Amino acid sequence: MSIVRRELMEESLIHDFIPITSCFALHRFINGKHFQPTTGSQYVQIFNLHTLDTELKVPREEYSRFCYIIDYLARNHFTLSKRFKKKHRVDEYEEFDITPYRKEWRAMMLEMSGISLEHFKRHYRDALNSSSKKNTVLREDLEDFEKMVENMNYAIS
Amino acid sequence: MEDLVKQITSELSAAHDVLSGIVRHDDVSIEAKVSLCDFFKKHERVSDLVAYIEDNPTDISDIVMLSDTCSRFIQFYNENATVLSSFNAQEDTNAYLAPYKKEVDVEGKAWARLDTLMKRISNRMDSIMDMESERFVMLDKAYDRIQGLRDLHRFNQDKAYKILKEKEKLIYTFYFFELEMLVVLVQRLKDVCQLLSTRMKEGGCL
Repeated sequence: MSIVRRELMEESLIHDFIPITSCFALHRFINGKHFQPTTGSQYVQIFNLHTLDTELKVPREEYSRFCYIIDYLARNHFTLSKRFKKKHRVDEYEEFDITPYRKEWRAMMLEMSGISLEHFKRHYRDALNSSSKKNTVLREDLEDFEKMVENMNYAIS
Repeated sequence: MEDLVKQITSELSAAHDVLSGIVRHDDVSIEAKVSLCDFFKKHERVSDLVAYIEDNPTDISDIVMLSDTCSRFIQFYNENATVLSSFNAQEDTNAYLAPYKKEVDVEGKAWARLDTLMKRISNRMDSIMDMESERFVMLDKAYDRIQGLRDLHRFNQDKAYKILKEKEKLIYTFYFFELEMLVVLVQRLKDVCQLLSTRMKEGGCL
C-alpha cells in the first residue's frame, strides 16, 4: 500500500473527504442513474472510503459518465481536514498540495467500480464534450447538485 | 470558550429531545426542527472535533459520555424509524412560510385593485371639463382617499415581503435537510469518539 493511500485511509477515520451534505445532495439528483441505486448514507460510506469491500456496480454504458462524476467530485468537492494539512505542511507559508491525495481517492473509487485507470484517462471528459441526451441530463443534474450544496451552506440560523 | 465535547453532548441531547417530541406527536415547533439542521451544519466536519481534542486537554470521560449520547440517539432513531420517516423538512418549510407568503399576496392584490380603481377614477375625471363641478370635486376627493389607501397597502406589502425574505433566510438551509443526514453525522461522531477514547486509553497519540 502506498504512503498516500495509507494516509488517506488513516484520514478517512476522522474526516469526510466528500462532506455529508454533498453526498446527500448527489444522491438526490443522480441516484440509480449511473450506478446501482442505494441510500444517502451509503453514498457517504462509499465516497468516504468507509466500505472498501463494496463493489460499485456501474453498467458498461455508464462508464464514461461515472468517470466524469468521480473526476468532478475529486476536483470540486474532495477535501482534507485542516488538521491533516497542518500536519503535512513543511513550511507554514507553503501551499499544501492536495493533488496526490485527490488522485489516489479517484483511483480507489475506480477500483471499487472495476474501471481501469486507462479507461478513465481516455474517457473521463466524454460526458463534458458530448451533447447526447444522457450527458446533457448529467450536466444538468450536477448543476442542480451544486445549487443544493450552495443552498445548504448558504446560512446557518 | 465552552468545552466543545461538552457542548456537542448537550446539543445532541437537545436534538434527542426534539426527536422524542416528534415521536410522541407533540406540537414540535419549526424552530426546534430547524435546530436539528443547525446542529448538523455546525458539527458536520468531525475532524474539527479531533483537532479540538488534540489542542485542548479533554477528559476521557467527556468523550465516552458523548459516545454514549450518540449511541442512545442512534438507538432511538432506529427504534422509531417508521414514525420519524414522516419528518419532511420541505413540507414544514412550506407550511411555515405559507402565512408570510399569503400576507404578501393579500397586500399585493389589495394594492393592485386600488391602483386599477384609481386609474378608472382618473379617466373619468379626464372626461369632465368643468373642474369646479360637484362631480369632479367628489371624484377628486375619492381619488385622494384611494391613493392614501393604495400607498398604505404598498407599504404593507413591502414590509410583509421583507419579513418573508428574513424568514426564508432563517430557514433556507432547513428546506434541503434530511433527518438521515443527522443520523449519519451522529454515527460518525460516535465512531470518532470511540477511536479517540481507545487511543487515549492506550496512551498513544491521536
